[in-house]
Amino acid sequence: MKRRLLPLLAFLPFLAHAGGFQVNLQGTKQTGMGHLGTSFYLGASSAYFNPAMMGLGEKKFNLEVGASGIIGTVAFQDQQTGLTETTDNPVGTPAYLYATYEITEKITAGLAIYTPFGNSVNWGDDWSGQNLIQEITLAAVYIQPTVSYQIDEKLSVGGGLTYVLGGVDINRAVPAPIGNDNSVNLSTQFGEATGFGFNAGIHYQATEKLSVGFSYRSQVDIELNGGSANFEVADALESSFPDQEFSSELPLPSTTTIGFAYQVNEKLLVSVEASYVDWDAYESLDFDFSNNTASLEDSKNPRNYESQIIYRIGAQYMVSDKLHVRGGVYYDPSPIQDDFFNPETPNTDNLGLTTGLTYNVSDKFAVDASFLYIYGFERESQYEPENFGGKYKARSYIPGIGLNYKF
Amino acid sequence: MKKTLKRIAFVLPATLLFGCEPEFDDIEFNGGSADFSRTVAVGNSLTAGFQSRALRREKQEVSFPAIVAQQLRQVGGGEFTQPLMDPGVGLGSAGNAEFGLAFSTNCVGETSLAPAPIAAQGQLDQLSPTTFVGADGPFNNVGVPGAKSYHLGADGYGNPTNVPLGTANPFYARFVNPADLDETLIEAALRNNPTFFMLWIGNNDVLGYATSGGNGVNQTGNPDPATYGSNDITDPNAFAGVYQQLIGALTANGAKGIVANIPDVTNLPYFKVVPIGTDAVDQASADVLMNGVPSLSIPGYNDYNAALDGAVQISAAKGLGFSQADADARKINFTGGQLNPFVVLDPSLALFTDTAYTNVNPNLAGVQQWRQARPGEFMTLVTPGDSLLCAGWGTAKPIPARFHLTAAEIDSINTATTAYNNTIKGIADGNPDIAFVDVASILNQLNNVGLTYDGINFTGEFVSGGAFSMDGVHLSTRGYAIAANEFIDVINSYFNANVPKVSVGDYPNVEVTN
Repeated sequence: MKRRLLPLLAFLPFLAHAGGFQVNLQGTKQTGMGHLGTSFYLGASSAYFNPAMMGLGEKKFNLEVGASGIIGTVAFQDQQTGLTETTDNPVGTPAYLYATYEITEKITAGLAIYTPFGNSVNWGDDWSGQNLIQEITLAAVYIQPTVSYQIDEKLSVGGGLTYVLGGVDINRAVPAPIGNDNSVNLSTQFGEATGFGFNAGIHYQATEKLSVGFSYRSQVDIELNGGSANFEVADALESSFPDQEFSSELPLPSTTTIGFAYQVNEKLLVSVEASYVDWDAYESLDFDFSNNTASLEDSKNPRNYESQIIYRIGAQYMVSDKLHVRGGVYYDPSPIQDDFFNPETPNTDNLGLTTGLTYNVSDKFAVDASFLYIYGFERESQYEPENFGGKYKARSYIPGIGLNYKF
Repeated sequence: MKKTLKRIAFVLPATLLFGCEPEFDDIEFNGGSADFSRTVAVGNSLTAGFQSRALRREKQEVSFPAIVAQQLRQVGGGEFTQPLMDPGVGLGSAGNAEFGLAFSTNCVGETSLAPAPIAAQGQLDQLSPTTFVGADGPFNNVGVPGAKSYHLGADGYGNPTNVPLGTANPFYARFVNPADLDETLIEAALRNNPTFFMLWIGNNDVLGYATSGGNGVNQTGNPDPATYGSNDITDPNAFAGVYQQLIGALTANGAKGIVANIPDVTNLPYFKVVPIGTDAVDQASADVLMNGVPSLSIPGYNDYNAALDGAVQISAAKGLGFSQADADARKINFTGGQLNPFVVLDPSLALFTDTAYTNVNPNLAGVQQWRQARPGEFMTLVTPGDSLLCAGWGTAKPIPARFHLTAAEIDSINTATTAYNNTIKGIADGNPDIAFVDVASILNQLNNVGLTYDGINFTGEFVSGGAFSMDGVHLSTRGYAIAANEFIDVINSYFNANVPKVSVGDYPNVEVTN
């Protein structure tokens, strides 16, 4: 199973559908209830949501794999020209794999592979913002060996190290004054961009009914070195825009989450969470070209993101031993200021409505399904440095499926 | 599983309440307090869509008035006709084709991109009456390349029989009313019974003087345009009178309109490309320039400078008014390895042919009106580059005056421009039906900080700036699209309208032709 899934994870693009280019689809069960799961155990996926909880399962070995299909559209309306344009994004399919093994009663080890950041937007080659972005694919895969330790019956802690592999592929027009089809492709081989980080969590079962979880995922700075910049320009411009290498750096911000879960009765659990995503770290996206010319300076693109808090509420209802159903809502405000809104990451304030279920086929095997609808609130924003803007609006439909195996 | 699906069916509908695809409310575009049903454009080459030294059909189709009118059509504007040329390579005032950008090799073997005609000659057949389009009029766009303010109301300015005499404009003759060959351009516009007008005129009242290196007369103080030559500066009072009449005629039937002032023409790329000096003179060459070649009796600039000092002596003795300061100001010096201003011929400099000088020193009769160019002066775009590089122009020989704009000439241009612009602004301010576009400020902004639209940065630089065409005077297609948006901006704010603008990036750049 693992062997097959890894290459899949590596090559599939994802659409930004959470704040900035964060992707909140790290567990089908959690996604079904507002993508929360920091304060109560839902399986091996706790390695992501709160590593302190990895040892809370009934069985020694827990495995979860899953994937989502993101069907998303962003629309743009230029208020000056009246022109409306929409993205034609490929269907994004982020995936995850979690495995945990209880080594002793107190210690559980786990491996998590997941994709908390990614972006896939295609506005087309000829749209009015082509000089800012035509198409972008950004993928980051986190690989995280994790350990948890149960201090006593109520308190457990956990943590892991993350190794991050990334890749990016950007097409944009080059606004040179000669010729009419000048463009550049900036790309890295997947895995050429790497970074390190860690995560940690605490879980506390305060009473029989109330639990509290806290998790922290560190910022990861992805270093892009040896990317290739390939220019397609008019013959006359070739000496001004030689093909060359570029380097860049992209911060994937830290996320701090606190959550509470309350077991109302045997069947019903409700939970609330708040996540602080430290987008302040994303100040600028710069491309350092190895071979500058009079026409090609290093590219400095201010982003000036602002940190935001995501609020989530969700519930799980056990219809029977076999069937659990879930629902949830979250509000995910955009970290992008109105004057620095670049259509490369067309992120609106988002309201996520989710539903999902788990069906326990047997004692060992279960299937999860989720559906997430994201309503992106209309915003009127511009990218002031390039004088491009208008109204943006977004919608996404995201079905997800997960498989669980435990023994 | 069926049961499960049913349960999902209860949950799902709530999530679909918000609709499938993101959609926007339509934007309400409207014409505000203006009526654009019959719009006319009156002006010169900028109104005609002239660029890259020629009038050419495919560029007429993207003239700034055509772009504005296309947008006005979304708010009640009517058809907007233009006297289009036949499809072809275009036609310029020298019978030339439109200029493009091509690689060429200069006299020292360096290859670079430079403006070059796209064909050996222009569409000369467009000057033949068989191709005239006047019968298709009246036209909404009556912009005529070369027209000055006073030409718009001049009888016979389009009469084909006057063209060979030089008193009519062949670009107007192409579309003059066949039923009234002497019809003025304003009358031609008024035949549309316009409800709205665009008037951008006055550039040529100084431009001919500027582009010819001041090879004309500053007619300030002479109110009679009938006596002017083609490169003269129009008297600002005459301009004011003419402009008032044009506005009176255009507004007589209650039309509203928009007028534009004229940019500082010395800010055009035409005057910014050729530098005023060279750093390519080494010390040995500088020595030859200064000392001449005594063995061959070839004089150098030291001899010229000494002759000037000699003239000062004579002038001082006889009270002829040629001071040491005058002499020092036109002395010529070359030093190797540094920037040496070009030597230019300046017809305003004193000659010493008067017998008061020549009786003392007959050689003074041969002292030329030469000096070196000064910072703040300009060489024109058409100064022949090969002559500078390989024929000794600017170093061993002076650059002819027609390629050089002196500080005094620049002063005359600026003074007249300011006066014209005060007139235009004053008339617009005094009439609530007339909006005003400050093109001069827009060009300053383009030059000083650049203008950015949809990720494209425009500057006032020749070619690389993107806003000007290959003649360094007229706008490029994108430049005209920018102008159209600026006009629309003013229309929107002044007439409380909401006319859609265009995406500048939708308009093409120049392509390299070889």
